[in-house]
Amino acid sequence: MLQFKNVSKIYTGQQTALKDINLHIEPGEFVSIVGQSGTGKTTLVKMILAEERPSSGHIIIGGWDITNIKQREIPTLRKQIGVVFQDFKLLPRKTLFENVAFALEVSGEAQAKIKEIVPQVLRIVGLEGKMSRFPNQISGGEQQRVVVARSLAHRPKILVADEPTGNLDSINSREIIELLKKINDFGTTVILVTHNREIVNDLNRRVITLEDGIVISDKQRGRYLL
Amino acid sequence: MLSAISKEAGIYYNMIFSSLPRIAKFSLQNFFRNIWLSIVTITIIVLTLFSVTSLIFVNAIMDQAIKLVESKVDVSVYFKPAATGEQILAVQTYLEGQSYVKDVMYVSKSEALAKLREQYNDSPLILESLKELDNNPLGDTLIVNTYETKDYQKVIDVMEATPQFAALVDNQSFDDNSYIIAKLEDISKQIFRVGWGITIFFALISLLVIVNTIRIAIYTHRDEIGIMKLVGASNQFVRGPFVMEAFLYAIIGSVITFILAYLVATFSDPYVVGLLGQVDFTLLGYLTNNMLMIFGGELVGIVLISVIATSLALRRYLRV
Repeated sequence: MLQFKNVSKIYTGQQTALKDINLHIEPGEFVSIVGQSGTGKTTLVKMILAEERPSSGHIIIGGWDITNIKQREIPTLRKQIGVVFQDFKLLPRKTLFENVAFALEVSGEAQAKIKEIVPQVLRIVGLEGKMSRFPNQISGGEQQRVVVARSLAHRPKILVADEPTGNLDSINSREIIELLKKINDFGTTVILVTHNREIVNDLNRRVITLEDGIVISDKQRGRYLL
Repeated sequence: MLSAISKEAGIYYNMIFSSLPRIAKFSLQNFFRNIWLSIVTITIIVLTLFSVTSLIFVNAIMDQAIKLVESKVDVSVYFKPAATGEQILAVQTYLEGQSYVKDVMYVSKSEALAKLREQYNDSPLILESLKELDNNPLGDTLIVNTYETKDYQKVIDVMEATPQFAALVDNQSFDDNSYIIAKLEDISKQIFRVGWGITIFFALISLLVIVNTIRIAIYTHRDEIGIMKLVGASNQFVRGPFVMEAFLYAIIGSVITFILAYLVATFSDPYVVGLLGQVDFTLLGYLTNNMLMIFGGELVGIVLISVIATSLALRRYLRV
């Protein structure tokens, strides 16, 4: 499903973010990528989304080598990866319905289909009654649930959650993790980037640990090591 | 993943047909949900276009004022008292036959005297002097109008160059007028240059103001643009609503300017008519006759500026 082959990322100024990363994530896996701040977790996510390109090595997603992906091909890639961000990244001038619908509209989905899918995914995250509200009219936990709903809307094969609980209290964090587990149960590969020890240990799934841009541990039933 | 890619290709055509209405919908949403930013941008466009329109008005009025003064200028050919009616008629017929001559008016010596008396009604000294004279000292006069001010010299030249005419002529009063005409033409050229200089200066300032207003508007949406890109929107899909919004600003701004200009023209016309007198000119008429050129030009200009400025301002935020 997702492969990193000898991937390194060196930013201008000789700052090495990732060094010789080799990863192989199978379809349907739930993988936590952990590490302290500045260890290259976010760079890794950015490379999956083609926001950054590797300085060397190859990234292959579903058999598609995206290492040198063309600018015009990036939207095609992103439409197939669900992303949940720490800072939510909701469109402030759109209602919750419109935020979720937007992910489908950019894919050219038919309006009738959008009207069918959006309430469905908002129901999954428990926000079907707040569809016409704007992001600033709901709580942080609810905003993150909208982001999860948006990432689910086009039924992605991979869902990348970059510190999804970073801005949430423990109750909301648990709810989000439960949602991610539910999504994974439906067969979606979930890549969770976090430095929340409690969440990682409770999950009891595969854990990849990064330190100074290097994979120092990759365990099938891992725990938070650092 | 590969099947997902083929699905992508499958809905490609659907995307093309569904994009335009969606882009239109998003642009209208942006427009109304950010109504204050929209109002500010439109106000700046209206102020810009209205200052350009005002300068066009001023140029048109100045042009008419110059034409009015030019129409007041003529050349008077004074005949010697000995010149007979037939001889004067021959001169008049000859002049009327010239292509550059608009009209020739005959003023008899008695009419000239009456006119002189009327003109100096407030000067008892001159009136007394006229009474002292037994005979009318004035001769008959031909007042010649030409189509172009530069042709007055031709009238004088032809009178001087034709011996049988020169013998009849006492005096020609073009010398003073030629100075006025030369001055007028000079002022007219200066006004034209200054007027257009100010117009271009205003247009440049307006260009900077509009480009910066649009840049600020785009800057306030930079995070939104990044989010759109991250959820898979193509550059075209992100750019579309912003460009259409700019187009909307330009159209609404132009329509408001158009209405404003018509109102200003209607309310200013009594003053313009008072200023120019008998000249057949109104701002409303001028606006109606040149509507396509003035508003068409302004509309095309403002749409181009807005759309290009938006596209350029967006470029840096689309690199996500």
